[in-house]
Amino acid sequence: MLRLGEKISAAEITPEAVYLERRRFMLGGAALALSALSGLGHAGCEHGNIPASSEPLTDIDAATHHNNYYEFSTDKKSVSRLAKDFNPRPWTVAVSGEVRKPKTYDIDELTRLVHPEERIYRLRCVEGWSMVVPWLGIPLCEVLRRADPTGKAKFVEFVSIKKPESMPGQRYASLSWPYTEGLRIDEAMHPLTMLVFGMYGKPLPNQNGAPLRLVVPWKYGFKSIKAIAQIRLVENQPLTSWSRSAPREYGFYANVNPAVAHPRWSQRRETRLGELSKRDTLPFNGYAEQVAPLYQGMDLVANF
Amino acid sequence: MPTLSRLAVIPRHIGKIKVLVLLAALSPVAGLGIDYYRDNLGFDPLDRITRSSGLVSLVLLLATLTITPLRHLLTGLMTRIHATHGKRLSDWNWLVKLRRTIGLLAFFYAAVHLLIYFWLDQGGSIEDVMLDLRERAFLAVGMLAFVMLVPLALTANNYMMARLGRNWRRLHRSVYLIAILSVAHFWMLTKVGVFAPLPYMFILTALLGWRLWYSWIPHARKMIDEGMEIPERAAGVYPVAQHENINKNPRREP
Ligand code: HEM
Repeated sequence: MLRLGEKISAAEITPEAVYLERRRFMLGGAALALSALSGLGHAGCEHGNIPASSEPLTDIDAATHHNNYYEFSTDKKSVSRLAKDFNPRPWTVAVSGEVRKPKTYDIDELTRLVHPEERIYRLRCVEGWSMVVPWLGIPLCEVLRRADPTGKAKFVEFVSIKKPESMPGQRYASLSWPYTEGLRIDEAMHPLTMLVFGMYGKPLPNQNGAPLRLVVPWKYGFKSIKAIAQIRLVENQPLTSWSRSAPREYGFYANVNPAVAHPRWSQRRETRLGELSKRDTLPFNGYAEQVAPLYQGMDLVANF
Repeated sequence: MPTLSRLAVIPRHIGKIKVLVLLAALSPVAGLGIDYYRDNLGFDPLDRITRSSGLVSLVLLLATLTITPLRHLLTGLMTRIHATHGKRLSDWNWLVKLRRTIGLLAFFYAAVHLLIYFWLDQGGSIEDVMLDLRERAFLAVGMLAFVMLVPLALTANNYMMARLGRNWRRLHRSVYLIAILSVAHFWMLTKVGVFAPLPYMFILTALLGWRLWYSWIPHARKMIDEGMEIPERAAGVYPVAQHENINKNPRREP
């Protein structure tokens, strides 16, 4: 089991591979284009204009030791330690629901579905801190497209693993387990939305959601569910873990929005990890150009 | 019990004890300063310093509230073990003198806490603070607690004690409300699924329970009245008329 994990680190995601991939990515998303061509006869995934990032990366130590991951602990400092012995192999991810081609992937099959890309995204936590991380993954669209969603697939529900024996935080009802998240189908198909299995050129550490997590850079971090076991396409808006536990605090959309305060955290400003001062938070975490059209005509204060 | 009788010399060294308390209570600030220079404040340094200053303030605030029950507890304990010293409440008056030091330190930390928030979190903009106070109720509650602490800090001196007379005690009783507001502030800022304020809430509840029992139940009051704490006396300011009768009836040793 461990062998598989090692294999992926050695063969698939060496820093050089990442570096080359990045070059390739910057040269116009060639990998995406290729994978779109090799599509299964359905509409390919859009490339979108993935914004290039010039911001300095968050220190890897910070990004991997300051974790909000209630499955292990509500204490951000303890997660990395408690997650050390979590085994992300073997692992399967079931894609099911309103699809014509449901499929259960082995994680190593899923990560090789299309050529992985490195993308540098800002991740903004609802608690008012943020980081800039080079993620390694594939667009979620590639997986959804292969499942061939039916006309009834209006939302995508994501369900994490439930394994209280190795996830000590799950022994407490701090949230309803397994952790559940959701996106509207157009959000899920958006080119910025990624399924991630690596960061900083290495396999995703346990504390950051190994073996597979979602990254939706224009939404608060809790939408970017970790340790995904199931992806279900559904007709009705799924009830997410945080909305269930505090519906007035955590909405379904959870788009980064400086104009809508959380009762405990001001959303007007944020702290980049490691910095002592704050900076202004941008609407949609700075990805408005790419994603604002998804919400045209919607009241984003009511749909927070 | 010769060792215990040495307790009797403590009041003479109250100055040194105050300095020790001061140094102990300032060590968290020194620790943060050292961590700052060593770049060791963690990945979210602003959060770290905001929270530590708030927490130390709360702990010191609760410490001021334990002084009175502690004196009663120690008096009872010493009586039970037939110690040579410490069987009278007045033997523990020196603890009351520490209360002022601790209370002022609680105020100091609350002020640091507020300044960190004002300068670093809100960039020194009063306008932003006003907006934030309206957006987040826990801040308004914290602010109320701080505003209520100001008059207490300003009157924590012998001069104001003498001037205010019995009103001084009335004024300073508001510290219970301040402590309640502080714990409420802590709960309100604590996220779902986290119970960090719980121990502080328990301690505060116990202290409030003791206080209510002490001041509302007539017989309990009578039992304790003989050695009733007189902060004015402990502070060295001589008592106002209402306390005279108590001084005339010092507790008799059995
Ligand atoms: C007597 C006055 C106050 C006391 C005793 C107090 C106490 C506390 C405590 C115990 C905490 C949590 C510490 C922890 O998590 O370990 C805290 C956090 C905090 N307090 Fe206060 N506080 C007071 C006044 C204020 C005021 C006046 C403000 C600002 C207007 C304020 C703003 C904050 C903020 C921003 C946090 C951090 C919240 C976070 O990190 O999410 N507090 N305070």
